[in-house]
This record gives sequence, C-alpha cells and structure tokens, in this order.
Amino acid sequence: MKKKAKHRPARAPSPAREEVAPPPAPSRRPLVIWSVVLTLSAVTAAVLTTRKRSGREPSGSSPVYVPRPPGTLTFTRDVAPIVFTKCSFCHRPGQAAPFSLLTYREVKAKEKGIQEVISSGFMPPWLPEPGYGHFAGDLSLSPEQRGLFQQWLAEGASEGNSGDLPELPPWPADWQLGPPDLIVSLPTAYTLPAEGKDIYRNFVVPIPLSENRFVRAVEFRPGNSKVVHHAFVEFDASRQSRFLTGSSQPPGFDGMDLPPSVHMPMGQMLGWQPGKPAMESPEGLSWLLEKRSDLVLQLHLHPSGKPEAVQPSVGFYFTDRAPSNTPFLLKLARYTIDIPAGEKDYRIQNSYVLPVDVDLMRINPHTHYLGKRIEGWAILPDGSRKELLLIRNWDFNWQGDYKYQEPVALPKGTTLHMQISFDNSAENIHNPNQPPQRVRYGLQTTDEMGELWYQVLPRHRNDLAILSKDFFVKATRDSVESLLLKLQTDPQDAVAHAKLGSALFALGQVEPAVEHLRTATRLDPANPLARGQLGSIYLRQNLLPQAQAEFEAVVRVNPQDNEAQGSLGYICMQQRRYAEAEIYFGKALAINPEDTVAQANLKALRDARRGRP
Amino acid sequence: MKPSFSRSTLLVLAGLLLAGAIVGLIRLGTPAASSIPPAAAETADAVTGPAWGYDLEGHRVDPLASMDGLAVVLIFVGVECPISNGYAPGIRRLHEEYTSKGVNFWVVYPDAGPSMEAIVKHQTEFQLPSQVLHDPEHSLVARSQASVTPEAAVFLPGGRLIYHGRIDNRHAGFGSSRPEATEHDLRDLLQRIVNGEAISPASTRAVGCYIPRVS
Repeated sequence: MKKKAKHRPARAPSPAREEVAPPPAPSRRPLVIWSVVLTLSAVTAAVLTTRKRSGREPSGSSPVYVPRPPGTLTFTRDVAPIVFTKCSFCHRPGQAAPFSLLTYREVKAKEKGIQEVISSGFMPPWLPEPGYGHFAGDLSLSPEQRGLFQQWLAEGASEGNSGDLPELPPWPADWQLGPPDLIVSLPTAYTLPAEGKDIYRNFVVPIPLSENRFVRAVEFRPGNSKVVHHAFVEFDASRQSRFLTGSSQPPGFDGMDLPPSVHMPMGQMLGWQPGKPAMESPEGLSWLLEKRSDLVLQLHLHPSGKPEAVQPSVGFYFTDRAPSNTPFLLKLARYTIDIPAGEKDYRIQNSYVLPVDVDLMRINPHTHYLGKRIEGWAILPDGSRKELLLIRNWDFNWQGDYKYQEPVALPKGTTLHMQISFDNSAENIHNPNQPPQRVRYGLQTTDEMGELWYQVLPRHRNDLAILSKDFFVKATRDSVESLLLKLQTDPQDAVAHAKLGSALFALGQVEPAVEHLRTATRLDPANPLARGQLGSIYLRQNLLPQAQAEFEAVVRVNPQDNEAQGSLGYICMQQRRYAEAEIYFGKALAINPEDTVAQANLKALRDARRGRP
Repeated sequence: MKPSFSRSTLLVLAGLLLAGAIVGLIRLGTPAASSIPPAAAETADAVTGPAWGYDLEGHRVDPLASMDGLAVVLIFVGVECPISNGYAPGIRRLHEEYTSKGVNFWVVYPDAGPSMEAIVKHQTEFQLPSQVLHDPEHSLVARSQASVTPEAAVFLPGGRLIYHGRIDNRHAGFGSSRPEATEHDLRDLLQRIVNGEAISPASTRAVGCYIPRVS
C-alpha cells in the first residue's frame, strides 16, 4: 500500500501501523482549511474543571514476603483470593485461557505448571516492571501474593475449610457493560489455518450508522478467544480499506500495513489484549464515531493446531454528551533501525519537549521479536525524573497498552523520553532469523520497529491545536531524517523520494519537495504518492493543466482514489468545464458517498451553474 | 560419553537391565521435583514389563505387546493443552510419513479427567492419528517416563525405551518459543531407525503441560 496525500490532515496514525511516511500532509484541496481539522476537538462544550493529579511515583523497592508458619496456608483462605482476582478472569470457560482455574481441584491439578509460570513470571501475563508507572488492571502478583502462592505450593497445596472460600467475583456473563447500543460483527467467520507462523489479519465491516454519534465505551470480543492474541479497533471513513478487502474470501487482508485513512479517532487508543476490560472513556472524553464509516479490525492471530473460525465483534456504547476535551496520541519512534546480525544490545532513543501542560493517560509500547527492553520516562521542567514505563523482557505475544491508575501530570517544558533495546543475537529465542541476519525498520514482523505511544490529554482544551501542530513538525522532521538516511544507502528508492517530498512540503519547503517528488516520478512514473502530492502542489500554485496531468496519473493507477477524482473535478470546475467536473465529482461520490469535500464541491458547482443560466 | 547400540545389541541388552528397571521405578515413585528438570540428554532408563491404556471401547490394550514393526511411538497429548494442540498437524505428518515405514503410532491421553467422549472429540477435531489410548492409571506414563504433554516416547521391538522427550525444539519454556523449530528430535530419531543407523538411548526435556500425578 503506498501512501498518498491525505484527505484530512493531522490525524495520528494508529499504533498498528508504522510508516516511514511523513505525517499527513496538508490537504491538496483548497476547500479544506486544515486548521479546522487540527482542532477537530472543537466538538466541545464545557471546560474541564477538575482532574485528578497523579501522586508521587511508587517506590521501586518491593516489600519482601515474610513466610507464614509452616503448614498453615490453605487454598480456601489464602490462595483462592489471589487466584480469583489475578487468574480466573481469563481462566474460566469461554475466555482466553486454555483451562479454568476456578476451584481447588482445578488449581491442584495444575500445581506444577503454576509453580513454574509464577516463578518465571510468565503468568499472569504482565510486562511492565512494578514501580515504573502505576497501572490500572495490573495483573502481576505482588511479592506478598507470589510468596504466599509459592509457600502454599511448596507445602503440598492443601485445600482448607470450605467455609473460608470467598465468592467468585461477579464477572459479567455477556457484554461487560451490559447490552451495547450497537454491535458490529464480522458477517462471516474467517478460518485461521491449523498451523504456521502467527498472522496479522485485517477485517473491514461497514458500520450501520446514519448519524454521527459520540461513543463513551467500546468492547471488543474476539469471537474465538483461543487464537486472538491482540487486536486494534480502528476506523476508516474513506472506502480505501473496503477496496483492499475486495471480494476476497475469507474476508479481509493480511499484514500490518493499512491505508493511511485508517485511524483511531480523536486520540483514542483502542487496543485489546486478553484480560483487558472494556474500553471506557473517562467522563467528558467521549469521541465521535462518523456515520457510515467502516470498522477496521486488525487481529494478531496464533494458529491452534486445528482450523479455527474467528468472528470478532465490537459493541459500542453511545452518549449524547459531547466531549469537553480530546486526548492526543504522541508517538516516539525511530525509523532508522538497522541492527547488525548478532548485535545483543542495539538501542534507539527519541525525545520530545511538551509545548503545553498535559496529563498522560495511557502508554503503548510496540516492537517486534527482537525488542527486549523498553523504557519511557519524563524529565520535568524542574529537572526531576519521572518513570513512566519499564519492560525488561518484551514479549511480542503479550503486547498491549497500559492505562495509568491516575493520569500523570506533565507540565509544559517536560521532556518525554523513550529508549528501546533490541537483541539480534542467536540467544534471543524469538529471533526469526537463525542464524541472525541484519534487520532493518519495516512493517513485516521479520522487520523491526520501535515505538512508544503516549496518550496525553491537554490540560487546557484549546492547547490541542498547539500540541498537534508542534508534534506534527517534530514527527515530520523525524521522517525527513530517516528518509535522508535511507536515500544515502539507496538513492534510487522512488518511494523514499516521494515520502521525503511529501514531508518537505508539509514543512513548507516547496522547492526541495518538488525536486524529490519529480525524482520519484522519474524513477517510478506511476508512483501515486508522488503524483498526488505534485498535483496538490501544482493546484496550490494554480498550475491547473500540470495538476490535472498528475491526478490523471493517479487515477490510472488507482481508479478508486476518490480524492484524486474529486481533485480532477475541482480542476475542471476552476476551468469552467462544469459538465466534466460533475462527472468527476460523481465518480468520487460513487466511490465514497461520505466524501464531504466532493459533496461540498458538487453543491458549489450546481450553485454556480444555476447562477449562470 | 553415551554408548551407541545397534538394534540387535539393544534387544539383547533389554533383557539384562532389570536393575536399571528397578532404579527407574523407584525414581518414578518419588514425588516430582518442583524445579525445572534439566534439559541435558541422559540415558533413558530401561523399564520393562506390561503396560496398558484403554482404547475407545474401554478395553485394556498394551501398545508394546505386539511389535512387528521397527518401533512404537507413544505421543502423550492433552485435551486442553495449547502447546500440545499446536503440535497436532506435525504429529499427523509424522504419523503419515512413518507408519508406512514400519513405525507404529499411538496417541495417549494421560489426564484422568476427560471422558472417552471428550477424547474422541479432541482426536477428531485435531485430526490426530486414530490409534488412541486413555491412560488414567499412568501405566504408559510410567513406562515412558513422560512428564508433560506433548511428549514422545519411542520403543524398540522388545519394549526397550530408546527415547522420551520433546518432539522438536520449538518451545524452550513457557513464553520462550522459536518461530520455527531448528532441531527435530523425534523425526531425526525415526529416520535413523528407518535407515537402520546406530542409535543410543536418550531423553530430552519436553516443554508443555505437566501431567498431573495420579493420587
């Protein structure tokens, strides 16, 4: 999938996708004013007045377990409360875990395995190190809990008095938050093959919604909890994902690469991993679900040994209350990753100085199989250091996002840092290459990525525009840096030239931008990103015939590009070729009836025609 | 140094290793250590004597009693063990490839819990080889020195245990798995047997779901 200039700028791409591509370029359509979109939070009403501030960082030192008198621990009194709160949510019928842990007999039958997995830390699956960020829904065992459990196991795992047994927690039988207002399901099941490496599969389902709605909560249901390891819930208001799916059977398409129009709306971080509760937005932070947009589900699937039917669904919970503020996703990444074969400790870093006061709400690390240690921290304006996340042993299979128990206050001038290390040696058992090979940045799971996503809420809602614009420039400069590096090693890389041209244009450097875009079209005359971007530049320069030639080249490659069709319509309209313009707008709207720019232009066209008899 | 035996030598030796058998039985009688067993290959103890499981009709069957082929493979699997389930296609392929070459495959369910109905359902769903035995008394577990599912045990004619352990090295521990196996212990052994090459008793540490002890 190649990048093209986007319809709507300033949307953060999803954590699922990682692109060297520049952040979205300003629209090539004169009718869209992109500052309007930058403040797409402007669906707001009230001012956020109160917010909890995060407390001091929990101390890094863990209390030590003091063993109990020998032989006094029982399942019913001492161990069941731990099992019920830390294990049974997943280890019960119908949930992700392969077997239930609800009774003494079930736990006793697995005692040896339990002993091993809690000693090694494999279970419960929780990657963040205690003391580095305080997260909601922390599944890890405290030293006290682990100590009790291990002593009980070592002493023979006795049952105890049944009267001591606590009640099972009241888990919701069906949807966690009650019946959703809208359920969107994959209409037919996808069949996962019995074996092979893990698979990334994307599903596109139209959302039957005729009005825009504000969403207060979302629950993802995997539709086969045994094989779905991780999922992203995203949206596409264009029709580009639908075209990628086409009529393919089974429905959907493979890979981590999604069209640029796919996004998580309004700073949302809608990821799912086993054991994660329904995704509820904090009070006042509902988000807009656009009518007639498509649901795009990206699932990370593990074959189970037999063919598995997978039929995920998403439940939406609406509210009439418009959001009073809107979070923003900051992604700190490096696209220059180039890890020599055998390198045990290859590191990347990045940082960003916050231009406004924010509260950090969630954090989401992402790397592939070579990622090892992931750190996120902040240096506050007074020079003090705040730990935000530490993962010592990254595990791709248990990736997810983490919500802070209390939002972490980060004042203007705070520097956010990330550092990720990679192990490309043969000792890294997850290494996809044996013997190890040089691995570079890329979207395939055999490539590498390293990024840390921060979901921040501006303290003052009007600061969102400042933040998103400032971060856009930073991210675009990061892209320029990595693309220049890429072109040093491969000066003939047309895609890199096209992306670099787009990024430079976004930074206002029009002449070098045009130069790289022209190089791209010389190397690859059909490159739609370069053609579309050039078309949009020529349009701004009012070079209508040149712009027309570029957009015509785009639609030759992809006739389903409604934005290019619409741009051709706009060019015809400017040249008073109204009949042709109407045809182009008609094509754009046939591809995507929700193309608001084409709608507006068509209306303007008809008004103009009516005005001149 | 591990001794190397030809098949005929092993047949002779099998009858002489009663002491080894007793040692092996004593070892099996002691509670399993809670620590992870060593991964290093060691010489398999020779345990002899009758061993049985129950077939789908509930009849006692000794899979080692009649050995007119080159070898018998017991593969221990669990109905709710994801690591074991993940091997189902591989087990099927080994079965298809080596049955015709004189290797006799049995799928053994060692957990006392599941009903025969649940076992049949599992075997059908995962398309495992159809020679299935339930081993709730752990007779075959003891004979094979199996500790987890999935685990393979290979016997030579005469009932001599020549190998028990992992199928391949895909899993090194819980949460520690290779994208693909790089060593195929069971397949390599079966190929050596089929080729008539020298083989030596060995065991490896299998990673999977521990077989609960029979109380």
